[in-house]
Amino acid sequence: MTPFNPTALLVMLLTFYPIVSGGELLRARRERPEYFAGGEIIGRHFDALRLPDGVVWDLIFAVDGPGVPHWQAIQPGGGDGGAGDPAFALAPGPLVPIDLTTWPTPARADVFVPLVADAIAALGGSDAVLDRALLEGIGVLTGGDLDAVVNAELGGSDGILAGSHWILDGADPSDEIAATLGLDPRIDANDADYDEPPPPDMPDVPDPGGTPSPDTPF
Amino acid sequence: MDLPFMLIEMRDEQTVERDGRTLVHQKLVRFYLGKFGPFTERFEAGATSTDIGVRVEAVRATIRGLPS
Repeated sequence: MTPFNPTALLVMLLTFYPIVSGGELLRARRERPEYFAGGEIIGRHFDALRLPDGVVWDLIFAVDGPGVPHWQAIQPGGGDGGAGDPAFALAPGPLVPIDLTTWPTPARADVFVPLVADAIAALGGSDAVLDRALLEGIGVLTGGDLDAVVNAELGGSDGILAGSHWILDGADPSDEIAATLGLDPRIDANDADYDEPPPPDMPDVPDPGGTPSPDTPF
Repeated sequence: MDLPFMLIEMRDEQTVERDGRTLVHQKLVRFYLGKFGPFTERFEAGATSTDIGVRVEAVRATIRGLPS
């Protein structure tokens, strides 16, 4: 963010906003936010700027007085701009562009290659052992040998599937089909009359008292 | 008062209008005039050096009018 510079702000206001009012200050804040360094316009007449570090700047002279208002940039307490929260002090300006040539490019450090090389060397010729084991495995477990091993260890799936297929082929569903031909595929909610006995009537509610006489006073 | 122009930054930027759909193409110019600044001004994307110079001269004239 551009550091706050009250002189630059004042020059900008004097140059581009000839009408001095709180509304124009709000417009300037919206159109040229860089000059305000993230501050917010405050005050009953929108005539002051409060920076993020808490410093307040009065930007309109005689905003509600008898005199002619004009732009200004002063601190109400007469501070010098450094009287904010020291934890959020603004950087002193003006800033200058960073000279990228002063930032040396870090030297390329090969970190992972030596690590991997050392780890492989620590295995001590394990590659040859693994290669031999792989070749032996390929030589043993190929084709019918592999099927034989699987069938011997897992019992084989071919025989089980063949048996299931033989049972399904021999099944005759004609009886089930004939039995369903006479059924009504619909569900008729009014197929029969309601023949359950009716529930008993509710007993009479006892009279809590005698019926008052028309002549009885309340 | 000698107020040499020192260009700090010039870049094209795109901002989104309040409607959230319209992109506005602008040219941002940041500069110093002597010890004064930085001044940050935005121009239309097709602004020429003359357009920028006119505004810079306006700022320079204001500075020269300040009480010393």
